[in-house]
Amino acid sequence: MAEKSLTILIVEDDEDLNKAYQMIISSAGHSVSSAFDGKQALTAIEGGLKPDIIFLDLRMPVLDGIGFLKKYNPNNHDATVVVFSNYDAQDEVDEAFTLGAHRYVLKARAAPKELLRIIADIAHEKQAS
Amino acid sequence: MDPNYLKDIRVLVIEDDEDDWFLIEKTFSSILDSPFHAEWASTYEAGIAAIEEDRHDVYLVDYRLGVHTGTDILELARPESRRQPFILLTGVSDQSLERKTLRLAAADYLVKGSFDATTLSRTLLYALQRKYIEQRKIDQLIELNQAKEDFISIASHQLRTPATGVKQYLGMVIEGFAGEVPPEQQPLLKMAYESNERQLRIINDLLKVAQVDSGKLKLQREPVQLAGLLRQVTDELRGTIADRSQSLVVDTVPTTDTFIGDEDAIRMVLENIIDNASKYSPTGSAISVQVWSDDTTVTIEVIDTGVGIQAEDLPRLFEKFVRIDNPLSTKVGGSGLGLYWAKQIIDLHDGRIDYRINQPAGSIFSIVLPKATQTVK
Repeated sequence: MAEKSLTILIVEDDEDLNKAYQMIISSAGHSVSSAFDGKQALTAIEGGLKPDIIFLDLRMPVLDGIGFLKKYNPNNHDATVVVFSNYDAQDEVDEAFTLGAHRYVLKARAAPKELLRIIADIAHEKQAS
Repeated sequence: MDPNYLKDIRVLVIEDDEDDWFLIEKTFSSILDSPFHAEWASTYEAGIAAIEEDRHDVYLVDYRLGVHTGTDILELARPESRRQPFILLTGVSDQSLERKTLRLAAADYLVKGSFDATTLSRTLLYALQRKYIEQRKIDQLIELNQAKEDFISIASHQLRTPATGVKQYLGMVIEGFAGEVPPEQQPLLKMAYESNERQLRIINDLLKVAQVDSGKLKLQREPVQLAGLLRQVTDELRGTIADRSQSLVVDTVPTTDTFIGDEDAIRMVLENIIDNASKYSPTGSAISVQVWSDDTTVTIEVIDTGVGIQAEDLPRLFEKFVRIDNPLSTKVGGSGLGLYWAKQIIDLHDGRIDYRINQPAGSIFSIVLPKATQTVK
């Protein structure tokens, strides 16, 4: 299936995980940018980056996922925001959703294939709309 | 020791006889260098109101208070849960009353007319000191418990990130991101991946339990359709169960069956119970899920024909960190937290989780939840 190449921003403070996500996503031919906290992500977007998808960790130093969403306001952008969540972070996920996040993925379940499936789903939705 | 609690001591005297109050006040005034400031509550009601204000350090309570008694006050005020000691005043020495006041956690007992300033002062000061020491021990236990919870939470969070990293990189290798994996390496990588999955599950169990134990878990209270929820659970587990060459048979659930609760939490409970049933059952066996309801509840039963649980192990089944010994327990591995967590979640839903032995072999877990039509507290 010919999939359109998307611009994807990864916001994750753990270097190893950030790199793993970059490798997985770029392997599917997408253009990947990365940030290690919400502030870096905002700077990249203010600098002209227009992501189609943002994978957003919630617990990060400097500016966390919730802080990022408050400043970024997904309702004013085209990007689909996918929140990285954990079993014990339901409250934060709920708050992220009220702030405009679109989806969440449990980190413990986000195997490489699962991440690529989510991206393919979103690409499909974006093509259809 | 902090000496401040023995200075400027505010004493509330609950006494309905004015003459007795004058005598008590006089006794207070003859205490040398008295640290006490005595205040008078002349009725049962005034006494209760003053206790609720929580601005005194110690209470002296008369036994006879009109139609009430001092023990009524003890029963209502529950001295064991307060920072102030309660001392009862009576007209006569009475052993059965003494036992009753002790049972109600009074700190001491004084017989009117038979104590002088020294005895009064000593009784109050020693009662205050005992309460102070007791309170310090309670504070230390609370602190220790908090430290334990913080440790589990911090350690688990710190462990989770690198374990998730291992999952991603191993996943990439297994899924061929770095080229084809030689067939002889595939089972080894798969085992490494499964070990990491188990590690992640244990870390998540620890975090979930820490959350529920600390009372920080906020559950949704919404009507949840059972049929849809069971479909999600079975879709999620069907692959794992098929990998073990087992089958999952689910009763047809009437679409109207709805319970009040937190969909995510109940889904995790059901996944846990069904996954356990599968893990502790032989290859080729069937796991059955049966559902029914009555006017007020819905019941979900998970039935397997596996190793089962011995009758002597049943009392500990839902306890924390308990792993029941059976022929598969070392092979299966786990944290011993899954069933404890499940029970906490079901209890928080005002529901019930029960176990019974399946005949001739295996286990039956049943979960009963309040139906959506019922008012839930």
